[in-house]
Amino acid sequence: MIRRKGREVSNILLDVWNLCVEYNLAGKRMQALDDVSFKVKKGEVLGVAGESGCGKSTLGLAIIRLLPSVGEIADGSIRFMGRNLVKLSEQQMDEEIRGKHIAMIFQNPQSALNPVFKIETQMIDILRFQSKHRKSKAKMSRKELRQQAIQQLKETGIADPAERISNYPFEFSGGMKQRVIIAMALSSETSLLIADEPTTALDVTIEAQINKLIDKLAAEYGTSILYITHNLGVLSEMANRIMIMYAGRIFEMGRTQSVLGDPRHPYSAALLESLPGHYTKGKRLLSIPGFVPPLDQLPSGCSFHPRCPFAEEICRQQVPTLNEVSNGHWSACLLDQQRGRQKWKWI
Amino acid sequence: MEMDLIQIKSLKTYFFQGKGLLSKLFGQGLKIVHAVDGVSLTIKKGHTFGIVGESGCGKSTLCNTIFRLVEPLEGKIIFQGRDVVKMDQKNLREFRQKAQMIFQDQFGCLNPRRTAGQIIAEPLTIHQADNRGKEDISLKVAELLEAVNLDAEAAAKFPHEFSGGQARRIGVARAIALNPDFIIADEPTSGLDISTAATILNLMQDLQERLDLTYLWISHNLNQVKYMSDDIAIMYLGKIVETGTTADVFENLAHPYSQALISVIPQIRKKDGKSKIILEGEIPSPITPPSGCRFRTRCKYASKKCKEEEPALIDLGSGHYAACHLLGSN
Repeated sequence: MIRRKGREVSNILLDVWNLCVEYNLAGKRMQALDDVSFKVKKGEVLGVAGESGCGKSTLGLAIIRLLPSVGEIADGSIRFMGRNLVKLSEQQMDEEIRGKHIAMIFQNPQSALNPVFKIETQMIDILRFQSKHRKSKAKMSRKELRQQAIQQLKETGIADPAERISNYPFEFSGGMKQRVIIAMALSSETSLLIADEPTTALDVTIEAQINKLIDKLAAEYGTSILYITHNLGVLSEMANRIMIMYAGRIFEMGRTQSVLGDPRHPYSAALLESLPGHYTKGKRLLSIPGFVPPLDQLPSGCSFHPRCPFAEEICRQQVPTLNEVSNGHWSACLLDQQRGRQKWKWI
Repeated sequence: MEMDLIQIKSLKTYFFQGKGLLSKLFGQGLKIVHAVDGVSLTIKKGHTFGIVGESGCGKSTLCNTIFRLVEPLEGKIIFQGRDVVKMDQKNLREFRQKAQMIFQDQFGCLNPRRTAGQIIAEPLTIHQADNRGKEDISLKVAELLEAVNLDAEAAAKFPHEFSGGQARRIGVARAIALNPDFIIADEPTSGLDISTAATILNLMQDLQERLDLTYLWISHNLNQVKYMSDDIAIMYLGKIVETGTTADVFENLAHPYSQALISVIPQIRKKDGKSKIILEGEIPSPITPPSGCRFRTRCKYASKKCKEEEPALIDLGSGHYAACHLLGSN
């Protein structure tokens, strides 16, 4: 149970408040995340969606404090288990947070494993590091650690884990490698898993296997998941709540059914219209005119206004903030906020 | 009347992997990759034929073989009455004017040292279409850029100055430069954002209508193939397991592999309460494909017969075929 300012907030695991991230490229400062605030409950799967360049991955990296050297958290707080991650030192992050309470898995399983070491070596390294910083337990022998690693592989559904653990990464297929990564990322202590497009590089049948695995582990351990993807179909099946991002800001957030079933922001509505999922040939798909603005050329007011056919003068001048439009459903569209519910007819 | 543009008959493409001279001479330690193993299909003029399957099922090798970028071991590719497999270099050159390919990697297929204009002009100069002069060619390039909704200024830019979607459109412009009849599109939207992918799909449909094009559409995105294709084939480990019109196949999935594959498409609004069929394991190696039915190692219905005998494609009516022993027995 976490206590903060005397108030009991036991079911909130992660509380991101007013997070701003800046990239400093060639002397130019660019705002990659702007005023991002959201909460993740215990055991909840929060989906993060949006086009490339909207800040999804930056958000994941900022939370686990792995931003590239040109990026920095300019403002805001990331409250996790009663501590502000923004204020922790690198060493504290390494010893107390990363790989222990927060884990992250990436899009390309190939590049997350070292090709010249056996799976065994890589898994035991991590377990040894974790056990070194675990005060309560006695130091474990290599044999015990190996057993633990085999157990982890088994839980992620790898057949013959005792044999396969002495293989090299190249002997595993893409789906198997992603399983190994998940096995390494998850320990019983992990309370937040940041999954950044974990199935993008995989085939649909393997994608289904991996998503089922993530789902199962989340249910078993009560792990919360920040699931970052551009695939709204996957989120519709995996996520409890969804957050739609654009140009570093949250545009819409709410329960999966309400965001996908009744999008209140024109951008969310457009994303849904551009999917070929439920159309047959001949019906034109929506393609949003223009492109996601580069970070150093963000438009004034609502950053989506140059691409939005519904935009009016106010959208060019005022920066919209998230507003609760119905129970737990937040949207950042000025027109929707001022005039009440709008139907966004893109086609 | 509907005409067949291309007919593929029991096409086989194998790759041979040997360790050295000895294996080449005596066949010792020689590994045979059964990439495409007896594929037959017919593509009607003006239609889009979609091929789906997991990585390693032979979709891309099939494309490359049709285009003769890879030589087939046996089989026929009848294009407008002539067999592509038997064509000599001169005829092949003619064939490659009428058939074009759009590649998966939008930047990898564009020469980084050439401008978009030069890239699009290249097929025109190579094939000396209508013996055009220089001016004619630059006019045609401008026309092609317009056809794919790019500005005329784009001609002077280099590939790295374009976004992913724009680079893909340059690939499309190059493909339609010689007024082809047939375009092979190998994963034409991979790596693009939702909205950009939609732009490409719309563009490809417009061009199909305007230029009377026939597409062979390869993708692992089932939603997209379903949306684009008139006819469809589902491939597994070098073979077609099910084929027919898209409507028929999706309406009445016959093969257990197709059923599993379709059930796991992530859908936003699920219309039916059908649960997912999650396959165990992974696609086996095409070097040592399973005996009998190649899907049997992952199939929950597999019986002894499936191990011993290879199922042939069974006619389920109106051009819908599937290769499964279960269908033959009833």
